[in-house]
Amino acid sequence: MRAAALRVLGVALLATLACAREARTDGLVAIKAGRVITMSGAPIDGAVVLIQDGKIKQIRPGSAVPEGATVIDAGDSVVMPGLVDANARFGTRGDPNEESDELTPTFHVAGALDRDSAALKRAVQLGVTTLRIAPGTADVIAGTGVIVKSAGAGLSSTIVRDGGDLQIGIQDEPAYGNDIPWYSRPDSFYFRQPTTRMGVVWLLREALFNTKTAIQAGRPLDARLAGIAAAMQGKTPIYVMLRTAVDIETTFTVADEFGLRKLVLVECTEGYKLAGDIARRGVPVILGPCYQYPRTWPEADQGWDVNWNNAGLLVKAGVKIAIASNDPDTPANLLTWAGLAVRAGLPADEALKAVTTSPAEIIGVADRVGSLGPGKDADLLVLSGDPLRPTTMVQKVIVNGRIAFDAPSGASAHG
Amino acid sequence: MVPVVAALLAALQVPGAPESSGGPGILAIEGARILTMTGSPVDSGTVLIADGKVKAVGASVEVPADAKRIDARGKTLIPGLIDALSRLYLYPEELTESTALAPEFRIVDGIDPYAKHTDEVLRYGVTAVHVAPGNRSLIGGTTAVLKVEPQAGTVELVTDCAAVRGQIGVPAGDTNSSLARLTTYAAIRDALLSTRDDLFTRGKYDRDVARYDKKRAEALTKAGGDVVKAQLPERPRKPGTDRTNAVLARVLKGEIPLQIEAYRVADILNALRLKDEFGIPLVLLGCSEGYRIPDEIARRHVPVIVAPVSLSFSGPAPLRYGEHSRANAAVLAKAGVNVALGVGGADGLHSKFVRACAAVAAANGLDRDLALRAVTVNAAEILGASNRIGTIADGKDADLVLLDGDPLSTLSTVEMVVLDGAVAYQKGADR
Amino acid sequence: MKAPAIRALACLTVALLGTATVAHTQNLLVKGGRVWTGKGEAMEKADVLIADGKIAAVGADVSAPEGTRVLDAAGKWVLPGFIDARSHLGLAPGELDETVTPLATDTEVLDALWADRDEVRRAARSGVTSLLLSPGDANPIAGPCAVVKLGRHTVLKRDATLNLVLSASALMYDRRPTSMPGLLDMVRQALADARDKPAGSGPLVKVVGGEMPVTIACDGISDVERATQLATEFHARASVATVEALDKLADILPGTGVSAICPPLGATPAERFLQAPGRLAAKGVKLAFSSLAPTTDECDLRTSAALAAAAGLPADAALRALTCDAAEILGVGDRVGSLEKGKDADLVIIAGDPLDIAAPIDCVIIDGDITYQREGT
Repeated sequence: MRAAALRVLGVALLATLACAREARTDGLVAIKAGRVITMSGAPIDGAVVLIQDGKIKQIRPGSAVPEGATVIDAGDSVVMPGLVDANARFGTRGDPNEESDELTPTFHVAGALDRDSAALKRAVQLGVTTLRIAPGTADVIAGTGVIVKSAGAGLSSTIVRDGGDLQIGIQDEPAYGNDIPWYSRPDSFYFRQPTTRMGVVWLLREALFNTKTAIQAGRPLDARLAGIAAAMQGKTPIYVMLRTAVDIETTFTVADEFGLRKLVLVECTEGYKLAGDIARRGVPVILGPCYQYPRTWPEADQGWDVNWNNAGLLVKAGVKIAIASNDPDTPANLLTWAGLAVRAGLPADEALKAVTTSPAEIIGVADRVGSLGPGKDADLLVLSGDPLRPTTMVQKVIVNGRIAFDAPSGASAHG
Repeated sequence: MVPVVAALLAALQVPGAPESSGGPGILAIEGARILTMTGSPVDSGTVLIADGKVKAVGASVEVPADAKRIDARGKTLIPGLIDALSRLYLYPEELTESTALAPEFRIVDGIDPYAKHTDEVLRYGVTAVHVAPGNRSLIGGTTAVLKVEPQAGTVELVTDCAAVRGQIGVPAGDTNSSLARLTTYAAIRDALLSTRDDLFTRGKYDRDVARYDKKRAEALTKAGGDVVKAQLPERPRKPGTDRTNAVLARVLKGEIPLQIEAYRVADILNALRLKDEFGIPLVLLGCSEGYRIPDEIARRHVPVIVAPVSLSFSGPAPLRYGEHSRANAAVLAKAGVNVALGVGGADGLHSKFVRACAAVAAANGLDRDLALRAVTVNAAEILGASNRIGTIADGKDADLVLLDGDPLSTLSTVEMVVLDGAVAYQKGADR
Repeated sequence: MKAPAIRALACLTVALLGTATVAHTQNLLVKGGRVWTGKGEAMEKADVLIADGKIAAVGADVSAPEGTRVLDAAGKWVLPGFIDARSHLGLAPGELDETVTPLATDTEVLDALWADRDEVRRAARSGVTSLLLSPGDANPIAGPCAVVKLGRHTVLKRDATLNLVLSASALMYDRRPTSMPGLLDMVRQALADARDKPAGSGPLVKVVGGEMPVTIACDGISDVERATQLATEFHARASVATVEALDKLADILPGTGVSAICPPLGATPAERFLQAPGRLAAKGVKLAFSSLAPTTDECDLRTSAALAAAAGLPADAALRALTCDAAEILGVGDRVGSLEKGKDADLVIIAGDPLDIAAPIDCVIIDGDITYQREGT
């Protein structure tokens, strides 16, 4: 009898010890919060989010916690889904831009992914849990992006999806640097088309034309053309980097010519000018970088017409928008930008959507992230208050069910 | 500048009472094999420590009743190790002022009290480091010897002016420029010459003033105390002060040595010529090719800090090292040169390899006893710090390292480090 | 220069270096030492008999024929000669990379070896008897690399390994690839071509499938992860060489079959780097040491092994990493790396524990010749 009692005591002791450990993916974790914003329904005041094996098991109103769960008592805090950055240009190492060629549809930016980068650590602290890292913008057809979690135990748990999209540039940026410098060799690969914006468009149309011809002739496609073909046939999204209204109009012209579907416009500084057209075509827009204009001389010099309420005007016309960072080597404070968008005229609920569900839907991972619900990835933020207030602090960031950032325990700002 | 710096450093020092085990009371380490570096080793003895100093050491030492006793039977006790060329406490950038001759600059003014990893270096038994200005300037400033403190924010100076540091033949880039060698030697020589002239002028002035005082007194007496009527002599003009020469004057007078960083034979010979011409105390630093001219160095009684001992701890050999050899220290020592060893690493953390450097030198021919002396008492003597560190002796700082085996063997581990009489590291205690 | 001409030049260089079959003057008996063979337990007091440059017998009380020279090894350790898994010894700094073409699979770094340099002649003193002559890291794929014996500088194995680089050092601004995605695309394409269209792919064909080992140079942990993915995908026998990600290898490599080549540990003093080999060995990852000579003294592997051992690598694992495991990683385990009958007579005699760097090396024997003997022994 005594031995049995001791054994029970031992087991109970072990169980208690097990619960006392930090939140683990295999155990049940319960987060008690003052307010849970699910982005898949109305916010719930006073609720418990149950997490198991890196997924959300359940969201229960009230404060009851099941037996054996590790409890994170967030008090009055607000819990919301981890932010989704639909067009990030950090987290890589080495130059992501291939200078020797303008058409590189087979290049995966995942080849430059550096999961150890300080920028990714900073992104975690800013509340970004999922991001699509985009290829460089120096090429006409730049290649494919990679969707990653901002924290994870290895490449396999970090990468959500490698590839499956195509990025093209319909702006003058791909033409930069293609003039032969006086000191360079005449046969240098820097001296090539395009050197003007019309050359950019020409190169793109030529590539699309060649692909279309090859498909129609029934010829086998090499890896390069195969990448373009999938995009042309509407199987994968095409991310178009552009800024001005002229760029947008050109995009639509080219799209109509080749029957391109599944377009996503990125950066889109002057999108508000053609909001109606964009909405009619059902094309989503990823905005960014925002609210730092005018920053540099090209923007002022090249006459990009900035409207601070770009987001608001697009949404009003019926366009789905996301707010992303889109700044080389710089993770953005998306919550702050969402707040600034509200100040400029975007409705608050739309602003929250623009950094959670909308980017998740646009990049095609809404089944897993962007909102909180049973079966979704356990990526969430614990905030000290209203997400859109500038005085709100990110207290905890949870990715795949593990605490990736914990402000009170003194995690340093530089990781 | 000096009083401000001293005050700043005083403010940064840890208050007297050590926090760890030992308290402000007496510490006795008993039963160890003690290598005092002052004479024969003590096979099994006791070291008595109080107020940060060694009070007694020997085979039979009376231990007071209230002493905290540490049983060190079967272990070996040595003085704290000294890295004679370290970058610990220095900022990563090259610490050289842009002027070519700047002996008045002091490395002490450029150290970072919040340097990281000092505790890691301490754990390897290194209790003091010699830091110096960079070698971009021909004469970069004065060097210093610091204790390796376990806590960030604490700095303890052993000496803030161990030597004036110069260099001959160390070009700015990794080039083999002979022009650089000519100009550095000439510039340093010029500086010493002008200092000597200065000293001569000062000496003359002092004598002239004495003579003037005498003559003035005589003239006044002759005039019966009437200043107006007296034929007073003209007062000699006081020569101006030159800060550069003021520091070098101390070198010329033999008060502090000139430490010349030189690697190749030609540069070493130039440094030795400076000693021949001016009779100054000289220390050679680096001295990679010293093994080719050991007798030249030995007969002038010039001590040498060999650094780096092994490229394995310092990184790739720049061209300026010449023909590096790990047997350098051994050859010099055999010729009778007083040798200390420096790791010469690119950053402060490399200083933890002092013991391994001594091991490498021993494996390449340096007498084992000398190898240990080269990182303790010899280093202290060459750096002018032997009044406080480098040996285990009555009245010296209680900086001690306890090992579980032969100190030179890389198979032995450091079990305990005592710094200024307090146990600063104990293996297994902080896990 | 066309490939056949390169081959001809290579042959000439080899001829100048000396061939594998050299006349040996006499037989040797290394007597009475503590012999660590690399296969099984160390023998407290044993002999090694050397004849015609090979090991003829190992054991207690080996009988030797008349006229055999006897080397007294009483009180000393006798081990297989050390094997340096990555070295640039004897190569001028500007000669390490042929960067005109990024996939340099037919330029042999062996052709740039200047065997007469002082540093090469002295290198055997460190106990290293064979080393891999590796190009620099400016080409995504370069090789093949040769394993060279010190001493008479014979070539142990000509087309031993290939060098693959997954770090930004292989990017150039005026030659493909200029970006990391471009580098990965190029490497993956080259490996896929070697797998699918073997004709005309050169040594890459042997890498795919694991016949020829490949060393992958990496910067950060993501590079290492990509390296393991490529190794798995193309069934390559791979080892990873990195400095920056050394401390995190133990989280990535176990279970992948990929080995680790440790850089000189004296240059990475932080504890987490010194502890890395111990953590890797504990998780069953095969290890070797590299000197990256001439950046270290001669070919100093012992310092790395000693520092790793002091930080937790078990002594036996350290000695294996210096000898037999390194030989296996380089694919020369049939000839060197252990003291067994029939293997090359490459030995080191140390006056003390090999992992105590204060113990001097007394004698180094390569192919049965005494290449170095310490003064006074």
